[in-house]
Amino acid sequence: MKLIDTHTHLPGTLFGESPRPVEDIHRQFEAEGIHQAWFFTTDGLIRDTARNNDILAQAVRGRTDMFVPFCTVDPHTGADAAIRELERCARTLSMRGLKLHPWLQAFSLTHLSVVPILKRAGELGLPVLFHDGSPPYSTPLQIAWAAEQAPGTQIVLGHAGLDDLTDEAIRACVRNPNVWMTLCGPSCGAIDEIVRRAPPERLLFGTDGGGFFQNLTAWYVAKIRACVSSRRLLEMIFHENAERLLEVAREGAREK
Amino acid sequence: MTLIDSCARPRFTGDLLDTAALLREMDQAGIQRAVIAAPDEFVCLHNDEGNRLILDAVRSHADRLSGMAVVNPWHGAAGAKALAGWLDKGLRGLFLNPVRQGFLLTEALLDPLLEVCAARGAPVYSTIGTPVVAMPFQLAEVARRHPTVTFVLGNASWTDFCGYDVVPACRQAPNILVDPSCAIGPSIAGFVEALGPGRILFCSAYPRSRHEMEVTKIRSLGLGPAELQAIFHDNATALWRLPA
Repeated sequence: MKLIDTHTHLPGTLFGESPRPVEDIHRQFEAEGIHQAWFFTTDGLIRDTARNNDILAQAVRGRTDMFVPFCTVDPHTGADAAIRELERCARTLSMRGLKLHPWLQAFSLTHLSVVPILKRAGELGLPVLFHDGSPPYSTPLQIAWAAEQAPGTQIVLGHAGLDDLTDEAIRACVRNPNVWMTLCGPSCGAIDEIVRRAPPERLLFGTDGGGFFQNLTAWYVAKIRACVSSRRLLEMIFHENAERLLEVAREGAREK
Repeated sequence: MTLIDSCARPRFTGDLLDTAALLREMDQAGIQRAVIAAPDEFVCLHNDEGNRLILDAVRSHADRLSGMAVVNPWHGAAGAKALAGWLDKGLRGLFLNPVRQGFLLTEALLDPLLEVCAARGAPVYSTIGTPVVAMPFQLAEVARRHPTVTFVLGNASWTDFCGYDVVPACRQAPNILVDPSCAIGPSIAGFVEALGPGRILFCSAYPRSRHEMEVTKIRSLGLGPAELQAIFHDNATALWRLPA
């Protein structure tokens, strides 16, 4: 079955990872049966945002059949500067999404620049994937609040509430048609609950792999398969929903 | 190798504890024994009712099941007395869930229960990983205050503290074992390397996780036979005083 991993990272130095050539990651993903990986920076989440966006763009050059690059921006630079970087990434670097990590990047969802950034991302056709599940800056309902302010932007909860906040994540997804969930982190019991209550057309597969975690694909695939018996739903989670999400985001763009 | 699951919690369905489903999953994963505690329905309120169900299950399947008691610390002295009674009847430890039971791990409220455990050599399992009530360094603080009690750090503090606080917290208190259920393989490999296999205690987290997945996860870490023997069996027999 085709597999799209909607949550992977280019290794950096943030967690003491060993440097790995992107060729190795590409080979590893192929060997693990991944057909496409949404690919984020690691180091850019804590320093040198623009430089790390450049590094990511360079890393995936010639490999866009596998890697869908997501840029990041620093909300603390202010809405204008962050949006300029976002536009540069979309137009010059051909980035296809935005990754934000409020915990590592140390910003509240209510920071004045966040909603303008999200709205602009929607206008550019970029979905926005958030780290979520971690108080005090990354709870699903905080992200859902921002999603409500930017209804034209597709927002992904990158960990579906992790585990403690699964209930919040489900409620955020049910209430907001522009909120999606990547099943990267929740336990089987939490996935059971998500599958029972959340909109099936907005569930995605992801591993957080590539960078700080490696060789997790089989484990995460087994976990999803242990919880989901419907082949149709597996097709949706493993690839169809991710493909559609990129289409929905693109169709929502006012300009590119 | 005999596999022992040191923390599972049968589902409560239709007014019954569904031990049959638990035993089926254990059989499928090749697990011979599980230490069980009452499901969430009995963790906050109705502790005695839950403990009675667990004790009945243990007595009905003495060759497969051992049990932990649940007592909400807010019961105070009466709770301590109740815990002593359940341990005397054959349950082997105390199961805590600070989130469901509404207390901070570091609170003195917990001390009467821990004193009972210390007096009877009973281990304490606590779910860990949820701020602000159940975090690794909070467990370490409690464990340092009660050095004669052995604590189990539940679910390796999955999720956010798993890769960060677990090892330094466990280094503060040698009387903490780590339950690796729910956590990802690379983190568990790090625990084994940093703390040694003698401090990793196989648990299934059933029904939050699945037995087969948890067994496969540990087996795929590339550990040697002695390390697997410790994690799957020896640490549990020593902790729960089970027959070898």
